[in-house]
Amino acid sequence: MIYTSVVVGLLTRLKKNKGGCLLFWGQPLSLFCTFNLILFVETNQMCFAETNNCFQFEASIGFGDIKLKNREFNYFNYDGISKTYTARVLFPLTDRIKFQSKYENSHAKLFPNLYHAQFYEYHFLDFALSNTTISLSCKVFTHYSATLSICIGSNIQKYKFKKVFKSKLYDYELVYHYSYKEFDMLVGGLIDYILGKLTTGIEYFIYPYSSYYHLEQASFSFFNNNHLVDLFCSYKLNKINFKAYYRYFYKSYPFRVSQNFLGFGIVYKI
Amino acid sequence: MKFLLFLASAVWILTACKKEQRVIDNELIVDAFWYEISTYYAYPEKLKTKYFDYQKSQPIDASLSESYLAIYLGQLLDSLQDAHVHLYTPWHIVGNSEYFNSFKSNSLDDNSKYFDSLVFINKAIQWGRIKNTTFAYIKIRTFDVPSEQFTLLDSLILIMKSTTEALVIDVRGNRGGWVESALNAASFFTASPRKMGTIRYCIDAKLKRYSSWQPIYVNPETLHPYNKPIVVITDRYTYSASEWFVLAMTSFSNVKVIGDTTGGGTSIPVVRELPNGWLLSLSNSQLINNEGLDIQFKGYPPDVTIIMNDNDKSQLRDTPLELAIKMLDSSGK
Repeated sequence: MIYTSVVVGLLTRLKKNKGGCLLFWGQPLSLFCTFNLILFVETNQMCFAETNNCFQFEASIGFGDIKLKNREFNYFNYDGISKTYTARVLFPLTDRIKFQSKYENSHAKLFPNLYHAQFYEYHFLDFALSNTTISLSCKVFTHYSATLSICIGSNIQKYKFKKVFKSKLYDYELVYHYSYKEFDMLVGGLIDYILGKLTTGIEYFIYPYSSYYHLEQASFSFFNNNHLVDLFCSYKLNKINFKAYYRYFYKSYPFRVSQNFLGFGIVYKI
Repeated sequence: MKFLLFLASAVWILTACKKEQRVIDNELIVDAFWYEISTYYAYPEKLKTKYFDYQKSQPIDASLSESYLAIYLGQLLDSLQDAHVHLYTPWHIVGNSEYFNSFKSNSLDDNSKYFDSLVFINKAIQWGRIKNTTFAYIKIRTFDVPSEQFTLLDSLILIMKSTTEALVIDVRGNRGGWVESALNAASFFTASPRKMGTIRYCIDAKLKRYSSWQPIYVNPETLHPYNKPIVVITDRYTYSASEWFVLAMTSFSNVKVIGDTTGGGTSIPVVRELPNGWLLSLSNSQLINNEGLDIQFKGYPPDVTIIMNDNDKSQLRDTPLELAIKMLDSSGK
């Protein structure tokens, strides 16, 4: 029943969008919500003893596409495939409140969408992001095995870019380095649903305050369009949970970047 | 029939795969040109003229071909009178290509009669001994070579220290190259770190954002620097990294500069891209020497000015070199 619903939903979406790209985040999001809703309706009479209220360590790796545009680098859109490594530690402070610390490292080699590629021998942008997040989450609502939590925290990000190109119009290879340090405050919500050995959920974050440092200058921004959506499910096998997730991250400030990726990892609970 | 259908569909698919050639309108290119120049050009006051205000306000003709657009933008850059400012296009490099044409040469094509021997050490360095004197002569032709090529100066100085009483360094006609090479060359003439000036980079000229002033030091690269009198000969063609070399040398107490004022281009260029792939080179830094003088556009004034006239040239007399010999002779006495 569940899977039939998912497949029907998927096909409906595909038809509606005339085979449009499924990776656009709105579609997996709506599918995932439908999936969760069906699970919830079908199993709301059951109660499972499984709990997330324990120390957790998670390590994962993700692959996906990244799109970037920044006038300081170029007039072109860059895109490429990113690799993201994540390590996360989560431990409960009380029954309701959990502390989470996450370190994330992304690398990508991005290529510009050049208007006149014939002028260049090569052109690429090395992208490296290291992101450290700390947050507190508090359970605000529990119904059977579904939990709604709200989160507040902050993250520090460091973006490093290395633009390298060799134009046929110029004798030398040109290399430019750019770096941005960013501090964000984040606010978000988390819904997770435990169904026996399977846990699914969704995280959503917005960034009400951001400041960034670039070339000795600091800039600030309030309520910009930066947001993150994380859909995940994990399956428990003995003591280890195997996790898969889809993440969409978008930021428009101080430069535009969007990241879609699928990740796989393990979660160790004590 | 099936084969024909297959062939037709294959042709249809393959022609559909042809990459679309995107045409960029002139307005976008010119907008980007103004954005780049007003953001990254370190001397924005040069853009605040009636000529530039008028040109900025003029709409660009959409039907102008790319080659004519390049010529038009090149003419705009010409008016900055800055030899580091160019536009690289598929046809040619436009902007300030005739910058040096108005300058008078202050050297001879062949002055070998003044030397016992004059040999090429490498592409950048010529070395010799001035006739009937105990003075050495080094001509640095370019700094557009890797800085390692100047490490040979270490061995040359070791020889010169024991066999000569003074040194003439000739950087006439040297239009520059790599700043690292110029500093590396100067580093063989000092025993201790010497400050030659301070530099700052333009981050956003529109917002008057510059980096902080950073001191530039010439650090010694040798254990046996040349500490005898040195005369550096310059002319108007001494430009860019070559002027860095002159400024570095002037921070040493045993150096005098003679000849003509240098070209006036100490700013380090940055190369920016325009949407159509053309490259725009812009002066992106400001350098001031130890006396607080920014020689960009003005040039470095020598301690003693001597400019060859037509009569000197016709008689094949290298008067700046003769003056250098005379000065070193008198300092020896």
